[in-house]
Amino acid sequence: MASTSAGDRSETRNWLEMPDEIMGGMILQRLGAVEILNNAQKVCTTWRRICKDPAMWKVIKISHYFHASDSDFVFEKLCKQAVHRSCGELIDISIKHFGTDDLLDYISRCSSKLSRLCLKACYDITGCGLNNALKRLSHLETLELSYTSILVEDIEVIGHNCPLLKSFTLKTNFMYYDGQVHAIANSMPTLRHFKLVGSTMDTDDGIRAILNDCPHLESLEIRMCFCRCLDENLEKLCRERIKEFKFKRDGIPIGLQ
Amino acid sequence: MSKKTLTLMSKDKQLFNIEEHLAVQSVTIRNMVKEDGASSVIPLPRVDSETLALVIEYLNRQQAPEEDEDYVKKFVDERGEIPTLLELAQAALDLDIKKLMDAACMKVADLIKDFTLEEVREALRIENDRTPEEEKAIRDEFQWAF
Repeated sequence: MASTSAGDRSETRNWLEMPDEIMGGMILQRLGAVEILNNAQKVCTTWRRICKDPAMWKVIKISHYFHASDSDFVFEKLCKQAVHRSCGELIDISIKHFGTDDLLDYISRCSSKLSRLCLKACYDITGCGLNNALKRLSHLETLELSYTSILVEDIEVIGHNCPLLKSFTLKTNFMYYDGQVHAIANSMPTLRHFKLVGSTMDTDDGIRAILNDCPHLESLEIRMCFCRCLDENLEKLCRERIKEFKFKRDGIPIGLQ
Repeated sequence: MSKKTLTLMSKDKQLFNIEEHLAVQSVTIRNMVKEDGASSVIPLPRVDSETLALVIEYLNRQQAPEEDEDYVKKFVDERGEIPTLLELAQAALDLDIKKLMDAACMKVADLIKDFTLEEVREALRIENDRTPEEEKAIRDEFQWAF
């Protein structure tokens, strides 16, 4: 029935005539920023044009897999190039295992529309650097911080600088969390989603404060290792008040997972 | 009551029948049916018969909803050649079948992810048409970055 085989087809078909929405938005974008900048954009003129389209760079996700500090700067530069290409259209950025205050400063200066920022194990980013950047990111709705050193004061400043914040994830291996959780309750009353992963909390007071002071909260997830159980009444209250409530004790030190 | 059947025509004028309730998984066809009943043959000028046969096979699947994701993935996995997948993606775009388009594009991205520049060019029969000016622009860009 078929008059052509896949082999014949590839002889005659010009794949560069495919609509940009497939080649760019659906295929090349999925390769990720590093692969696009290092490889895909060099394939031909058409792909280079597609790869320069700011629409390709609204979402940027870059992970540095090998934590070898001598190549950190390469990832930092690649990330800047990716942000540069977004021409201010960036709405969502995740970086992992690299990044400095300088990079964060660059992102914040170029990306006034940013609504989601995710920093995972960016050990060189300081609370001060983060806060300086967040001053310019007033549209931020989602913030995820893993293994970034965050003090109580930092959280208060974040709450002040990001009045639209709806979703906050904090993951560290600090021993005690109570202060931070209180600060979140005090300074982020608009939160809808809060996820806390860490070592332990001394008391349940922080969780009580979150319940009282964040009336819009729809989901609350707490994962602790070496932690007591929650007070029974408090756990019941959480389940009643919050659509999605998860409390889990892992027993495995975070970071070894 | 017999189920209503639609006829789709490929670029190379082959005709394919498919039951209407299955065909309307394609948003394009659904809209046509809504507008004029789509009683006549529906022409698909950019889809060849081989690809249309695959699309029909996909639309005719009898999967439980919870197994559908796995089915779509397997469906494109079994047609792992890049030209076939790109034809499928184009057809799924024209017919507006989102799940199939996503899966086909994702598979292509997976396949070319680890290719070298030359391998990408070979797989897609793309010529390196970069001019010396562009070569320089790429170098300068990274100069700027570094």
